[in-house]
Order: sequence, then C-alpha cells, then structure tokens
Amino acid sequence: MNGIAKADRSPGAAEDGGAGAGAASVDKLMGLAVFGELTAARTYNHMSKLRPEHGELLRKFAAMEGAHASWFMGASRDNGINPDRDFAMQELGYLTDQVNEYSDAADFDSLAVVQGFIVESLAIATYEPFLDIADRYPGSRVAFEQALREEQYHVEWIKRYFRLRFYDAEDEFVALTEKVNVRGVDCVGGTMMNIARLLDEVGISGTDCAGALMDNYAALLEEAGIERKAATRNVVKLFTPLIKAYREQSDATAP
Amino acid sequence: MTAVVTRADVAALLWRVLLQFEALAERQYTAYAPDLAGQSKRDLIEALTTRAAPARLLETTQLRDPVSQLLARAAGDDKVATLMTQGLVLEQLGAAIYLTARRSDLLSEQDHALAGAGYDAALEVNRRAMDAVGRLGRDGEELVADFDRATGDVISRLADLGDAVDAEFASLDISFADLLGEFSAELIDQCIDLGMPRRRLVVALTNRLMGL
Repeated sequence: MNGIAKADRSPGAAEDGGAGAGAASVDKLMGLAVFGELTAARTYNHMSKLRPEHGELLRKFAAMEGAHASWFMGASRDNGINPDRDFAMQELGYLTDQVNEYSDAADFDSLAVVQGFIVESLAIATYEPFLDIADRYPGSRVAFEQALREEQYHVEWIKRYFRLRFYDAEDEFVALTEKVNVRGVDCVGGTMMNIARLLDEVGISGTDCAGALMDNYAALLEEAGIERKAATRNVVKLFTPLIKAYREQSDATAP
Repeated sequence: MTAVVTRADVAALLWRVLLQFEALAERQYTAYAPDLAGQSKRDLIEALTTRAAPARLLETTQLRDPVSQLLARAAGDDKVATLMTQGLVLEQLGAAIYLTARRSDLLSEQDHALAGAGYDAALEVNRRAMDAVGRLGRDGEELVADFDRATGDVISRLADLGDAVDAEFASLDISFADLLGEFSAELIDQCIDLGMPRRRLVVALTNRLMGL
C-alpha cells in the first residue's frame, strides 16, 4: 500500500475511466463500505450478547467486520479517497434503526436475517465485481478479497444456524423472513438502488449488482430451508417498488 | 376518466386485457410455432370474448399505453422468439394473473371458472414451449443469451404495467408486486430447469426490469 501513486482526482481524470473516474462516487461508495462494516461490527456485537453460547464466535465476526473497516480506510488513504461519512450515515440510518429495535427486543433471529443474510448479500454483491476494478486503487484488492472471503464465512454460519434453528419448522422460518424482509429489503434494497448509478460511474454495473443482491438473498433463503419459488416470490415482490422507483428516477433524469 | 365502476366491470376489464394477450399468442403460434396453437387456447379466447369488456373501455384506462406497448414488442417474427417470448414469458405472466384471479374471493363463480380455464391453458402451452426450447439443444450460456435477446424488450415493458395494474385492479386485490413475484418465481425456476445459469438469468432479468 506504500509508494503507490495516488488516484488522480483532477476534473479531467474522470474521462479516462481510470482511478480518477467518478471521484465523488468513489468517496460515497467507500464511505458506505467503511461505515457499513462498522455497523455490521456493532450488529454482531449485539447478537453476541443475546446468545452467549455463540458469543465468542459472534464477537470474532464483529472484530472481522471492524478490521474490514480499517483496511478500507487504509486503502482510501493510500488512494486519496475521502470516505463520505454523511452519505453513509444517511443510507445506514434506516438499517441502524432496525438493528436497534431488534436488539432492544432481544430478537436475535431478526438480527441474523438482517445482518447475516440481507446486509451480507449486499456486501458480497458489490465486493465481488469491485475486484474487477480494484487495481485502479492500489492496495484495495487485498482488502476486498479478504473481506469478501470473510463475509462469505459469516453467511455460511448464519445459514447453518437457521437450518438447525428451524429444522422441521419451515413455516416459522418463512414467517420470520417475511416479517424481517418488509423493512430489511426495503432498506438494503433501497440502498442498492441508490448506489446503482454510483457504481456505474466507477465502472461497475449497478443493475448487475442489484440482480446479484436479489439472487444472493433468494439463494440464501433457499439454502437455509425455504422452497426455491417461495424465496424468489418473496424477494422479487419486495424489490418491485424499489425497481419502480429506480426506473422513475432514470426516466426523470434521462436526457 | 375510467368508466369501470363495479367489481364486475373490473373483472371484465381484466378479461379484455387477457383477451388481447391470448389473441396475439394465437396469431404468433399459428404463424411461427404451430405446435403451441391448440384447441384449449381457442376455447379460452372464445370464453374470454363472452366476458371481456368492450375494447373501447380499455382505451379509457391507464392500461391502454403499457398494454399496447408490451403487445407491440411481443410480436416477434421467428420461431425461437415466439417460443421464448410467448411460450415462456407471456404464458407464465398469464398463468400468474389467472392464478391470482382464481384465488381472489372477490370474483364471481363464472369468473373463477374462467380464471381456472385460463390457468390450465397457460400451463399446458407453457409446458409445450418448454419442451420445444429444450429441443433447441443449446447450452446454458447460449440459451440465456438467446432468451435475453428474444424477451428483453418485453420484460422491460412489463415493469411499465405496474402502476396501471395497481390502479385498475386494486378492487380485486390484484397487485403488480404479487404478480411479478409469482411470475418471476415460476419463470426463473423453469429457465433453470432448461439449463440457464441462475445468476446470469437473474441478473439479465433484473437489468431488463430496471430499464436496460
């Protein structure tokens, strides 16, 4: 990460599609990554207190998320990126409210759905394609590769937790996810739609990421025990108003 | 301003929309995929005609433009486009609509029966379309690319129906989000069974629904 040329943030640099492209967009996206990871750390810490039998592992998850935030901050410093905290806080506010509510209600399972499935699905859907452009931001590839591996590790545990927790109780699991999805998908899916154009500006397809998010989450629900079509039905239904809002905004800003 | 005022009027409007889709399907199948044209569809068209609202009524509603634009893009000119657009996509859309109508407590007995007939006919043709697409012998990557090429325009127009469906069919408890969920679940499942890679398929569908 040392001795590498910083990203060119001069106005003309945006045209070359290289490290300087969409500097403000990069600041926002990296802000969301940094503060999103810190929110994830907080959430896993909440979860560790609600289930002491899993406390050690969940504190380890929290520490990993905190490390991701540090790495991303380091990569930002090395590349002249200023993670946009205000943007991140605006996007994360709705999620934080839900996390606080579930935590106050000692509702571990809802936290697991929100953080372990929905939020992690967003992280994976955006970190994976970022690796295609990571070399424009020297030092970031190592950070995002490791973070991606660790998000997938977290998801793997959450899946196993739910398979055991709701073994032979699929209806209860369906009811849980449907309850959490109403706000969880609205929140995280809404963020996905809000950052889709930012992703486009830095060279990642925002709509591809949205598709990946939907597929990631539906697949996780299926792997945790929900019948495939039921999972797809629920996820698509909840994404429909978000897709509509995205299209309306696209139509409104079209030349 | 719409002249649709009672629940029966709304049901008649629904049948008018479906009649337009079914009539196009029959023309397309006859021209490009005769194996998919059959008596069940012809019987359905006849049944829909007896219960459908006059065409001029559709012209007064919010459905007019999105329906006509979607239909204009569904009139492909070759067998593969017809199999995929009509046989897979629009038959699954029709099935989702008929199923939702069949489940609604707000329709008459005759309308429930019609919805049931429509659902059965849609699934019958859809199964034959699936078999025909399977016989094309294309590998999964080729197939999803062909599918996106053939159907992308129609799927993109599908999203335009949302507001109109919600506005015009709310009194029957039909929502676009529910329809899209049901349609997507069945279509994706079917396309995966045909060998299309799931991620590529879902990303392609999402892109189209988001307007690309």
